Amino acid sequence: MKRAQSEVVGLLVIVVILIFMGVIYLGFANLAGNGSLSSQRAGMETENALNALVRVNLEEYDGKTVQDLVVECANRIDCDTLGYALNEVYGAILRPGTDFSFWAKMEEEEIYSVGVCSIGVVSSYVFVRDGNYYELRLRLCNE
Amino acid sequence: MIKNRRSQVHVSETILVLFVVIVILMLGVVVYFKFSVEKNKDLAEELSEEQATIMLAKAVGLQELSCDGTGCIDTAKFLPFKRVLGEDFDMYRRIFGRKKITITEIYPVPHDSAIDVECDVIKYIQMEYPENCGKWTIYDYNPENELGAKISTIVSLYYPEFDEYRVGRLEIEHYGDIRR
Amino acid sequence: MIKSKKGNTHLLFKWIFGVIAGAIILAFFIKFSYVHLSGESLIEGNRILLTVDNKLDAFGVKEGTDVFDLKGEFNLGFDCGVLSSGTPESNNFFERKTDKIIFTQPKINERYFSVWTKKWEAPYGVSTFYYLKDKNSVILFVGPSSSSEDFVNFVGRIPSNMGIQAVDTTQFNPGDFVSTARQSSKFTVVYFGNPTYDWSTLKSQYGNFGDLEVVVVNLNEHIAEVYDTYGNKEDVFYFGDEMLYGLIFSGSKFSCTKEIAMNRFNLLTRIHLEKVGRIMSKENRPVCVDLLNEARKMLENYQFALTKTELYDLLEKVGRQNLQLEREDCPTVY
Repeated sequence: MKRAQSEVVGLLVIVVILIFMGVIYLGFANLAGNGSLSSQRAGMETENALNALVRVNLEEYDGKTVQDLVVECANRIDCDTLGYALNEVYGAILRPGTDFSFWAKMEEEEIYSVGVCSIGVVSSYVFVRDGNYYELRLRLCNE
Repeated sequence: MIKNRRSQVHVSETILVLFVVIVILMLGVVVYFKFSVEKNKDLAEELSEEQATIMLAKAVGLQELSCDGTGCIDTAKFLPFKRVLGEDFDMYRRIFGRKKITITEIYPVPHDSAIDVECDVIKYIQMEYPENCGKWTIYDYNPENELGAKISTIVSLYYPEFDEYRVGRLEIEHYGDIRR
Repeated sequence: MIKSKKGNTHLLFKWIFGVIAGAIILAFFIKFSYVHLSGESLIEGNRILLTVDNKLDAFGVKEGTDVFDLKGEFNLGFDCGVLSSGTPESNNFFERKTDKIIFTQPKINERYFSVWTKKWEAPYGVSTFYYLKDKNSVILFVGPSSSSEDFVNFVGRIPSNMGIQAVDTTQFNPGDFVSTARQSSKFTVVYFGNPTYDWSTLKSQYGNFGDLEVVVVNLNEHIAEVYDTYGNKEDVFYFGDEMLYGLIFSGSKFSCTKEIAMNRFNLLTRIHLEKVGRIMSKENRPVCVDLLNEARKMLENYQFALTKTELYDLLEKVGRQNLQLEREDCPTVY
């Protein structure tokens, strides 16, 4: 009977090893995730956030738009208002805890900059006012 | 009557081995099918999320809702769209699937009394509009009351009645799978 | 030879038992594999349709052109708002309804195909039109390239990757394109103006190789005659250049897709009509109210317009009314 017992034990060991290998395989097979959809949405969010910002009529600033404030800043009239407006708008529309960086350029010369984050998708918007070419850039910081 | 114990033991042994093998096989098949079903459920959820993400990009450009070619959403189209949706629901069910699509105004920050208040025809005709409400439920189809996952994006809202731009959040809640 | 006195009947029984049990287990595994493979094939077949639908959706967000790689040949079918893969006779045939307005040949069997999207405006945005073509389908324009600016501009707007060939009417000789027709599954000749060779003549040259369709376009009247593979003629009109491009890429399948497009047009008109009505209720300035009221009446007629003359007439009127609203600083229709 000893030989039969050892045969059964051998069979059992093989089966247990096979099950163990199968479980490990299943574990690895489930690991692969998909981050590309969330990064696409992050890019969309940045572009839409800038798009919404440049159009919005600012309630506290006589219905002016950010474009108007950027032009005022470029003409050295007032850049502080632009800063307050950006913080007010993005404070309301971005998700809690999301930081941003914003730059404004006129004819390739930087006229205004706020925020320090360096990782994240950048979106840009260009417009022409009074014959001058303006570019606005926004980066939403990756968490 | 037991005449040949050795052969009987041998037969019992064979039956036992077969029984054990069959049990293990069944176990393996059950585990495999469970794994297969889980894999397909994950695939369905992934495809549902993919569709919802595409819908998020598409919604801003949907002619039924958008300002013509300027990247904003025309709020004056919301109520007409809801009416047309009621008349042609099957067509939109094929387009949107099992989803809930809402647009909420987020800037200027709505008054407390208007937060989460649905904008309907009655709110629209009041003098206080749009300060008297802050949310539009554009589409809602969840026949099996499933739990959903939400994705959203910022949108520019245009009020042609007042020639004014505000900011909103377009949210899509998608339910489980991609059945229509 | 069996010499042992013990007897070997037990071996026989073991063999019988083993063969039966083994056969049962084998049959179980075969059935298991078959069910699994069928399930995978079902998922794969539907997945390709969903992938194509989603890719077209994502691409249609903006106007543009591209070449799609399906990473395999799937025998895609396009028929009046329904995508399909596989052949109806096989077990791998799957269908999916789509909301997209796609103008294309009935079947695309290639791995790569060109896609071009254009927004259809009439005069407000109605839909995005998708034009699909693979390299097996040949489209040949025969028109007055040396004398008609309209023709030249119309052709010039088609992206080069859509693979349209053009030849001047005076220089067109069907014999020059026999080898091209031989290599194609569908050959469409599009005349702009009077056709120099009729359908029967072209059929005798190209008919043996694949499907031949002939389209005769009248750019001034916005009408066309479509001759299908069997020579049956259909008179159609198109509403906008975008729809004419659709006619060219879809040929005899144009009418059904056009109907989908017109239903959508009707829907968008209803939305704009109601939007104008609502805005009027919020508007205080009399001049704006009057202009909006005129626009509303035009849109009401537009909603029920069926003929080409009515549609083009109202298209122009609605466009002018919108400009007028803009000049007066009133809310516009679109």
